[in-house]
Amino acid sequence: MIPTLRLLEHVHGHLGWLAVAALLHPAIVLRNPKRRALLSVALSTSFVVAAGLLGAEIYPSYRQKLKQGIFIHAPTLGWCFERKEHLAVGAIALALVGCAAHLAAFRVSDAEVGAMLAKGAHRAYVAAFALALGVACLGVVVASYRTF
Amino acid sequence: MSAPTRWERVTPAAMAALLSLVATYAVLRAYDVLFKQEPNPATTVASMHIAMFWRVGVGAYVGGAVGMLVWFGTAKGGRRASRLVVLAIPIVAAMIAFQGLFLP
Repeated sequence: MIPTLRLLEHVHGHLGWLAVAALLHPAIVLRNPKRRALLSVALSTSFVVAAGLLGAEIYPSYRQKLKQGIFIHAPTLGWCFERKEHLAVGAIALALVGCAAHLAAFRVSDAEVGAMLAKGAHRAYVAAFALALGVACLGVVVASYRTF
Repeated sequence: MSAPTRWERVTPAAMAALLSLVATYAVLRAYDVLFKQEPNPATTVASMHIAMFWRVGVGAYVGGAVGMLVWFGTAKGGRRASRLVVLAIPIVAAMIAFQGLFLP
């Protein structure tokens, strides 16, 4: 039987890659500031947030059971994991920024503000995608070395 | 000029709060790496203090304060605030990317 933590870690990893794939869609389609992509924005942001919450749930167990061992035997990979967690904070927050900007872009009465928010949504999703891709790659490198 | 709608006030405030959270996180971690002596993780048993969650908490506190300031600042219109937060997006993304990659 698969231990619960290992199961959660696998779900977290798969959800993370799904989030990367989902973030690519708004990062591309929102280049057009008049394009509405509410479903894409909502789904991709939900994936990122869900993956992040799951990561936060298993993070204390990683610290207790794995972190020291990884740093003893493969410190480079330990630092890769540290990099991953920092980049993940940025990816989640920027996806939320993009979501807020896109949701508001078509609801504001001032057209100039709407155009700026649409531009901001695109920028935020491009940045969130780039950071999330880095997070997912680093996550695979570390998880392939040691797991729960 | 008409008064700004709720969306024109809430959105820049929320965006500024989130961006401030990330910027604060990056600055706090960069400060730890550059100016504090940290124990080697290979020789440290996990402690109850989880620095990452702590940094996110401090970032959320700062973000909340910045968000409120932006909310009050948009009482006459959201153009300036929207322009500033949109400008801040690549800057904050670069900050967290630089800190994450070079100052883990």
